[in-house]
Amino acid sequence: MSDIAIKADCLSKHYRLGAASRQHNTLRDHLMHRLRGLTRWGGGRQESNPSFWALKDISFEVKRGEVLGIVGHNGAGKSTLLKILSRITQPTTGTADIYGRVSSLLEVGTGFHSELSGRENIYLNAAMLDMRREEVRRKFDEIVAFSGVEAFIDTPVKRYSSGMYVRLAFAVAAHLEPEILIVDEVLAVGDASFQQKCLGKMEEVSRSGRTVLIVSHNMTVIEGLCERAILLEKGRVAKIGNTHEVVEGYADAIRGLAGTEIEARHDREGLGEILLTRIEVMDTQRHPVAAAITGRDVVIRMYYRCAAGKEFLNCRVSISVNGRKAQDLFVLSTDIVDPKPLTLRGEGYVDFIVPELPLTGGAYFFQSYIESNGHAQDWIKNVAPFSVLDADYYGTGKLCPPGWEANGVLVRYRWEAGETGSTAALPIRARAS
Amino acid sequence: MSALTADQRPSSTLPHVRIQPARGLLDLDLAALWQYRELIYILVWRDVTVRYKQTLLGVAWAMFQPVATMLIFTVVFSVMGKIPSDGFPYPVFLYAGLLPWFYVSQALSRGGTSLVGEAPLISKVYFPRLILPLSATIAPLVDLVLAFVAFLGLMAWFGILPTWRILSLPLFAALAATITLAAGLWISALYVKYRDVGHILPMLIQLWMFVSPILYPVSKVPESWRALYAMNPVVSVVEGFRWALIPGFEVDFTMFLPSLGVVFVVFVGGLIYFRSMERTFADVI
Repeated sequence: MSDIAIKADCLSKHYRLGAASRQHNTLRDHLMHRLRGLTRWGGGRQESNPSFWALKDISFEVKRGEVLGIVGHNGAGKSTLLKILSRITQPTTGTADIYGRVSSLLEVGTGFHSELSGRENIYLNAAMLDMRREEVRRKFDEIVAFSGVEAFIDTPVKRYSSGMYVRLAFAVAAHLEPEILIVDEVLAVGDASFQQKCLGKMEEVSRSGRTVLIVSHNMTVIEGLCERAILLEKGRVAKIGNTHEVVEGYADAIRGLAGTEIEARHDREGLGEILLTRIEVMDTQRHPVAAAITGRDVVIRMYYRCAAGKEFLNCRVSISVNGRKAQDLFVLSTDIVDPKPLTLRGEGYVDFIVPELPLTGGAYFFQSYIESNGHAQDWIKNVAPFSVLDADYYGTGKLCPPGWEANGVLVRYRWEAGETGSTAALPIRARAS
Repeated sequence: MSALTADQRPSSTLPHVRIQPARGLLDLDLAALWQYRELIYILVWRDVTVRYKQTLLGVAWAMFQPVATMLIFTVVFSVMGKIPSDGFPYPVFLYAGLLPWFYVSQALSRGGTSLVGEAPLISKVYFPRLILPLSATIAPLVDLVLAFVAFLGLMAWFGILPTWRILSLPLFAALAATITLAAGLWISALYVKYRDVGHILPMLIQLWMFVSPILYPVSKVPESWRALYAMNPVVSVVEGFRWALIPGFEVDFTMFLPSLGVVFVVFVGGLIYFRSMERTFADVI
C-alpha cells in the first residue's frame, strides 16, 4: 500500500456535447432560454443537450518510481485524464488518491509575464507550480545556468527570442523535483534539442525514483521509457499492462478504426450510392501497418461498395490528409494524376501509392470524398486517423530548424550557392537533398 | 543529491491529495489557500510591478491620478456646480472620498476580470482559483497607501492636523477590501460564463460612484431615501474614511448596520457561488 503514487478509482468525466456553442454564453441567451422554458411557447421544447462521457470508470494504480505511458487516439480521453490528475478539472464521479507533489511539463512557460524580467519570471512561475521561494533561491543559479540566458536575466522576457523563452521556462519546470511528473506530448512541440532535453530529463527523473506519467503519440518514446502503459479507447481503459502489449493493442486499434468503424459512420454527406467502407495504410508489399514512416513509400487503400446492380461512370475517388488543426495538407485524387475515366461497380478498392511520404512524425487525419458524374456520393471528414512515425527524411540526421516545421509537410529540394562579386561568377554546387 | 528526496521518503510524509467531485456548499479548503500563500504574495507583487513598468512617473501615477481627478472635480462640482461639502474645504472632503473610491473601482475592475484575464493559466495549472480575485483585491491597496500619502500633503496645504481617529483607517480599508472581494467573487465567476460582464462592469462601476457620497455629502440625500441609500456598503466606507481623516466630520454610525449586513450576505453568497462554479472554470473558460 505504501508504495502507491497514484490510485484512480472509477474516474469518470461527463461533458455536454458542443459545450462551446450550445451553452448560453451571453446573459440574453440564458434569459431567453429560461423564459421559453417557463412559457413553453414558440417551439420551446426542452432541448436535451447531447452529452458524452470523456472518461468512464477509469481505475488503475501507479507505483512510486514507475514510468507509465498513456496511449490512445485523439479524443480517447488522455488529456482529460491528465487534467483530472493534475487537478485542473474535476471528475464527475470517482476518486483518485495522489501521494506526492504533482507537476506537469505541459505547463512550460504558462504564467510567464512578458513585462517582467527573466529573474522575476522564475519566481513567478515557480510559485505557480507550487515551488517555495526558499527552494527557488537555493536553485536559482542552477536554473539560470541550465537555461543559458544568464546575460539577459534582468531583461523583460518580451525581448527574449522564442528559443530563450522556452529554455528559461523549461529550466524552471526541470528543477521542480516533484514526486510525480506528468508529460503531455511535449515531444510534439519545440525543436529537436528541446525534445532531447525533455527526454533526458524524463529519464533522469524516473531514475531518481520519481513517478512519471507520459502521454504521447510517439510509440518509440513510450516503448523506450515505460515499463507499463494504459490504452484508452473512447474514455475507457481498453488495455493495461506491459508496454509492448499495449502498444500492439494500440496498433490493432488503429487498424480496427480504419476497418470496421467507417461503415457505422453516420456523419457522411452525399447520395450514398457508393460508400467508403474501409481505409488501410500499407507498406509497398501491401501489408497493413499501424503507422506510416516519414520518407518511406506508403500505400493508402480505400475500399468502396457500390449500390447493388449499379454501375457508376466518371468517378473520382480522393483522400486528403489533414493536420492537427484540421487544415488540408495535401489531396490525393484519382482524376488529377490520371485523367482516364474511372468506373466503379460492386466492391473494390483504390490504392494511392505515395513514394517517400513527405510528412513529419505525428497524428494526422484523413478526409475522404467519392463522386460520380459530378455528384457527391460519399464525403466523410476526419474519417480515420493517420499516424506517422518520424524518421530521417533527408538522410542527413538533421531536422527542421526550430519553429520552421510548418504543418508537418516536407519537400525534397537541393540548393546551390554562387558568387556575384567582380570576378566572373563560378557557381559553387552543393547538394543537400 | 536530488535523487534522494523522492525514493527514500516514506509515503506517510508525502502530501496526499484526494481528487473527487466537490461536494458541500461551502467547502472553502483554507488549507490549500494557505499552502499557496506565496502565490498570493507573488501575484500581488506582480500586479503592482507590472502596473508601473515602463512608465516615466512610475508609482507616482498612484498619487497623480487621484490628485488630478480631485482638481478637475473640484473645479466642476464645487467652483461651477456649487455642491456643498458640510462646511469642510471641498478638495479635502472630495479627496477623502476619492481615496477609498479609487481603490474600490480599481480592485473591482481588476478582480472582476481576474479569472478571464488568466484563462491560459486556469486551463493549464492547478491552484486554488480563489487566489486570483483575492490577489487582485489586495494589489490596489498599495496604490491606496500612496494616494493616502498624497492626502497628507493636501491636509498640510489646508493646515489640517489629523486626530487619533486616523488610526481607525485600516479598519475602513479592510471593509472596502471585503466589499470589493465580495463583489469580485460574483463578477469574476459570472464573467467566466457570461462575457456580457465585460460590458456591464465599467457601467456598474460608474453608476456605483454616483450612488455613493463621493462628490456630495450624505446630507444632500433626501431623508426618505436614506434607509435605502445606507444599503450601499460603499457609503459606509466613504463616510468612515471621512470620519477618520477630517477632524470634526460627524457620521451617523447606525447607517453602517444595513450595509454590513449586505456585505455579509454578498460575501458568503459569493463564496458559495464561486466555489460551485470553480469546478467548471477550466471546462468553460
